[in-house]
Amino acid sequence: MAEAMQPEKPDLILTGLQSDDLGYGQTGVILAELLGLPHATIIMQVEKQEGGIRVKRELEDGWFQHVEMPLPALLTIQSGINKLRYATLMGIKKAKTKNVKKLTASDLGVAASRSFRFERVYLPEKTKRTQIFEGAPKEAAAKLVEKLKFEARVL
Amino acid sequence: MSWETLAAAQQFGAELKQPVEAAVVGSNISSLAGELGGKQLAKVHAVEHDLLKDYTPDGYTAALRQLIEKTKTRYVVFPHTYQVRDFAPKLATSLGAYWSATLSPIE
Repeated sequence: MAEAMQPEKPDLILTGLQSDDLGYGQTGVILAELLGLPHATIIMQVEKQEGGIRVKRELEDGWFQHVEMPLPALLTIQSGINKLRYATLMGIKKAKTKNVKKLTASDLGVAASRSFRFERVYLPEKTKRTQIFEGAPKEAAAKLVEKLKFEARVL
Repeated sequence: MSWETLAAAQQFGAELKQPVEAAVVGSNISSLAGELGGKQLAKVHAVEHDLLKDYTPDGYTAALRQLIEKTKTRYVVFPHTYQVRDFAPKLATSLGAYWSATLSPIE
């Protein structure tokens, strides 16, 4: 992707934040490094301003951060920041006439080599364990609450 | 850095029979580095610079890349935080290495 984008000299590259299945969240960040561009991740908002852009990033625990950055730049966009719209019939017709450039690894002069190999993808393996809390109902209930709070972490 | 990451690195280090070192990055971090002094670590690196006071992916990558190259570190373990996910892929790419996200546990 970096090789394909380089000749286009884009001012702004937008990628998703992470995939739903593997959730690596690396494509955008690696792309920025390969293109030598500044980047910001988990973007909630983008504003154009003199000499660049001002973006709103999502941090942990409900915090946000505003960052000013120059262009060209790369942003990885958080889901849900825009509402999807349906394409108009005219738009769909127009899209069919757009030129789509297809590039292969050899067109770009890069060797497709695999550095990462999947061994197994699986759901968390659950084991069922039944536990009986003995003693007076009051004590047993307290024990149960403690387990639910600190072990099961559902409370 | 997090205590959880430190414990994972110690476990990883023991399995690989490799010494474990820790690094803290920022400005005015001597107390943080000192806190790590009491842990079972071969070395603690304090990477200090005024420009590292506020986090930026470029700054942290530049600083950690230099440290990793200088120490010839083979494996680097990070906590899984939004901040780490913001710069770790960049750091790994700049070193020609790979970053694997969301590990639990390491086998």
